[in-house]
Amino acid sequence: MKISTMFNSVSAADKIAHNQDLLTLILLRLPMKSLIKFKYVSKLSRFIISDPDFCLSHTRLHHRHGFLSPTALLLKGDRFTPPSEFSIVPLKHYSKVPFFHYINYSDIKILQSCNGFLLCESYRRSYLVCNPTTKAFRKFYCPSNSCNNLLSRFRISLAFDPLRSPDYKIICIWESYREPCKFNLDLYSSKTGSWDLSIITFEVDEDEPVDLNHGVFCNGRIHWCGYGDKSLFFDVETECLETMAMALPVQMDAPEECRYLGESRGVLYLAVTNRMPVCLELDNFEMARDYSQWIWKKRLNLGDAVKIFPELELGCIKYGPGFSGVCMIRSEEEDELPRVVVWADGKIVCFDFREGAWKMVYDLGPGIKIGSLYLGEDDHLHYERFHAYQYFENLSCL
Amino acid sequence: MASTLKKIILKSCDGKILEVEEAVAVQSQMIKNMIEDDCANEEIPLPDITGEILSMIIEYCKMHVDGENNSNNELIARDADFITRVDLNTLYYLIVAANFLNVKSLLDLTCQRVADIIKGKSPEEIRLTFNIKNDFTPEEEEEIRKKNAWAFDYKD
Repeated sequence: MKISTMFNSVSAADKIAHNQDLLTLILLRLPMKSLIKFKYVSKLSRFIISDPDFCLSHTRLHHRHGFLSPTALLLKGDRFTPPSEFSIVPLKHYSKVPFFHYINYSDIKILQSCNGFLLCESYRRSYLVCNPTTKAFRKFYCPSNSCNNLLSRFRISLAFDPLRSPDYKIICIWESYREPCKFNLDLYSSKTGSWDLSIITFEVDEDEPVDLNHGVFCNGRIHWCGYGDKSLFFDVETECLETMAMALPVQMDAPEECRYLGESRGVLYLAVTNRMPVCLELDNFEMARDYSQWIWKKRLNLGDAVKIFPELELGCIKYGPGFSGVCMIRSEEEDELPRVVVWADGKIVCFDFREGAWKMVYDLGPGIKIGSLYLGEDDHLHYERFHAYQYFENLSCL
Repeated sequence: MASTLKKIILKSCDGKILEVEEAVAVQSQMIKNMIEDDCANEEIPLPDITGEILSMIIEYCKMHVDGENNSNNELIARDADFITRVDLNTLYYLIVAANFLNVKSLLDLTCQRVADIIKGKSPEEIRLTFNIKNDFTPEEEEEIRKKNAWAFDYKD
C-alpha cells in the first residue's frame, strides 16, 4: 500500500511550483502588483509572466463586465512638459508606477490613453506608444512626414483593446498647410508592422470644425469632438470614416466655451461649459447606444461643490471654465450611473450620480498643482486645460 | 432513471473506497470520459489522491449537482463557504487533484483562493509557501528588483 502523502505539504506545493500549467492558473488570477513580485520568485514564474500569451490572458481575465478598470487618473497639461510633470489621482490603490522615467525625452505631451497603452508625442514629431506597467515603449514617425514635414500638420490617435485583439493600430491624419481642411488618413497596424498610406482622404467644413487632435477610442472606433452639428468617427475594423451627430438637445443661454469629449466603459460622454462671467455650470451628455443622438443627463453647478468644500478655488477667471478639466468615470458595476470628476486647484472632486452628492476624490496636497494659482493673480493655471488619462495596470505587449 | 442512480466506485491512494452517484462523478471530466469509453464499471484507482481530499472533492461536486437549480449568487456563496474552510496546504492538494480529475470549476475556485491568499506576500514568503528554492543569483535578483521597484513601494 502506498504511503499517504496527505499532509506532506511539500509534495503538492512542489508539484504546483514546478508545473507550468498549474502555476499559470494561479498567476493568471493575481493582481498586477503581486504578479510583478512573482517575477523573481523563480525562473519558471518569470518565464511564464514574460510570455505574451500569458500577458494577454491575464488582461482578459481581469476585465469587469467586458471592460478594463482604471486604477488611476493621470493628469497632465495640454502641452509639452517634462515627463515628470504630471499628477496621479488614485482610483483604487496607489501604485508609484514609473510612468515616464525610462523615456529619454526632455518634453512630452500625452495624446491619448487607450486600455493600458499611452500615446505620447515628443518634439520633432516623434511619437511613442508605451505601457507604463512594463516600461515597454515603441517610437515611431508618421510615414508621410519624410519630405514635407514642415508643410503638414499631423494628428495621431491610437486604437487598442486587448479584450478583443492583442494588436493595436495607429491612425495618422494629416493636412498640408497649402490645402487646409483637406485630410489624409494613414493607418498603421502592429499585426503587419506596416503603414497603409492615404487609405481615406476627406474634407472638413470650416464652419463645422472637428478637433482631430484628441481622439477618443470607444467601441472599436476613434471619435473626435465636433463643434458644429456633426462630427466624425473612424471605425478601426471596417476602416471607414463616418459622421456622428453633435447637435445637443439642451443649451444654456450663453455661447459655448468648452467641450470635453471622453469615454468610460463603452459609453461616450460629453461635458459642455458656457461663456459666463463665472463659469461653473456644466452640462453632461451621453451618446445613445445607437449613436443617433446625445442624451442630456444633468446640469451640474460647481458652486454646489464649493459649498461643501470651501477650500476649492473655482471660477477665478472671468469667462473661463472655473476649473481645469472634466472627465466621467463609470463604476465597475453594471449600473448606469457615472461619476463626473472635476479638478481644480490641486483638488479633485466628483459628483456621484448614484448618491447625488459632491465628494472629494483626492487632494494633491500643498505646492503648485494642477489648476492652482501661480506667479500672480492674472496668471492662473485654470487657463491651462489639464486632461485626465485613465491608467490601466496591465502587461499588454508592444 | 436507473442510469442516474448508477454508482461509480473510486479508490483513493490510501485505500479508501467511495461510492459516488454517476451524476456527481461526471462533474469530473476525466471520469466522464472513462464512463463514455465504458471503462468505469469496476473501481477506479486514483493513485495520487488521498481519501480525505477525494471526500472533499465529492462533497464539492455533490454541492454543484444539488445546487443546479439554484441562482448563480447562491452557488457563489456556497463555493465561498466551501473554500474558506480549506487551509493553504489542503488547497494545494485540491488543486493537484482537481487538475488530475479535470473538475474545471473546482480548479478555478482553488486557484483563485490561492491567489487571494498569496497576493499580499513578499517573494520570499511566496517561495516559502510553495517550497521553491530561489534559483536566481543575487545579481539577477537585484536587476529584476530594480526594474520593478514600483511594485514594492507600497502595500496594497
